Amino acid sequence: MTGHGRFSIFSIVFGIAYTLAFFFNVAAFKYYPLVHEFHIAGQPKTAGPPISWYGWIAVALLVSIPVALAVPRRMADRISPTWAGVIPAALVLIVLIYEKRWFF
Amino acid sequence: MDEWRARFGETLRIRHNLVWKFSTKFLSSPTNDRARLLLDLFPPCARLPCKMITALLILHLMLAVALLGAITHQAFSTAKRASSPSFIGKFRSVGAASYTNAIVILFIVTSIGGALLYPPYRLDVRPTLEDLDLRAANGVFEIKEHLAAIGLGLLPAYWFFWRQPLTVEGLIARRYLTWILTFVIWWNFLAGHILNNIRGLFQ
Repeated sequence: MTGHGRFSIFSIVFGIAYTLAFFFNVAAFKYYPLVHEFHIAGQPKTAGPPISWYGWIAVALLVSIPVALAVPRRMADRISPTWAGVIPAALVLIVLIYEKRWFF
Repeated sequence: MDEWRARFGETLRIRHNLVWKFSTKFLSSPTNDRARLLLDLFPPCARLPCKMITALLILHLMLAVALLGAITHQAFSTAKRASSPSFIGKFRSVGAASYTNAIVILFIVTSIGGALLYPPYRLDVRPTLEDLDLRAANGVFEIKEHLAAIGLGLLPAYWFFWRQPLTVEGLIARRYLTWILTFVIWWNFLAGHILNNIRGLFQ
């Protein structure tokens, strides 16, 4: 099966990069809805609560798009398509395990 | 005009800061009574046009329902070849590949709707949940946002494996990706539904 490599790599790297970004709270930027402002640096508490989610997605995109484009197509196609399913499933499981802290 | 805008903006900013200080510092030891008082003083949607948020929320819900139906049909179609003329059999025997583009578009548009609704949630709903000590509800939403992001990342591979003639490995990947997306969409739908109705559910 050919041609799947870059799509698979994008999906795998995006998931891993997003999970690491939220786990280590590395956001490309944060949005402060109270003052309607985007900031790269953290703001004082008077700016209200930040939203990091947009910034985590941006980090995942900034990592996954270049990686998916940089890997040569032949090399990318050598990756088994199964990994494109198994790794995201593992990431979902990791998220559920990590977030169980809210319930216990 | 510009001066008026600047002064209006500054007034809004001061008011927002006061709301935030009130909700976080004054209520340092929250109780249900205090949280309800906060809700009464600053009802949800106090900072953005309520009607706009409500309309967006309903649109978000309708798109999510369409997405839920499409992905469930597709997921069941990958589970087993339909043969019986029963309801389940007919539910499975859809032309699943034709759902793919619609699912990708619906997922992206629904996620954009969710992203637009996030700020009012962060300002109005989440502090209330924290004040009411509803940690599980917050956790459900945290998982929802992470799953939505992982789901967005899955879409390119999902789209690819549904448009290609398949090898055995491709078939496995297609099945995995479809069922992961199904789980993500069902979780996010139920979480959104519970959070939207939480005032009625936990009286």
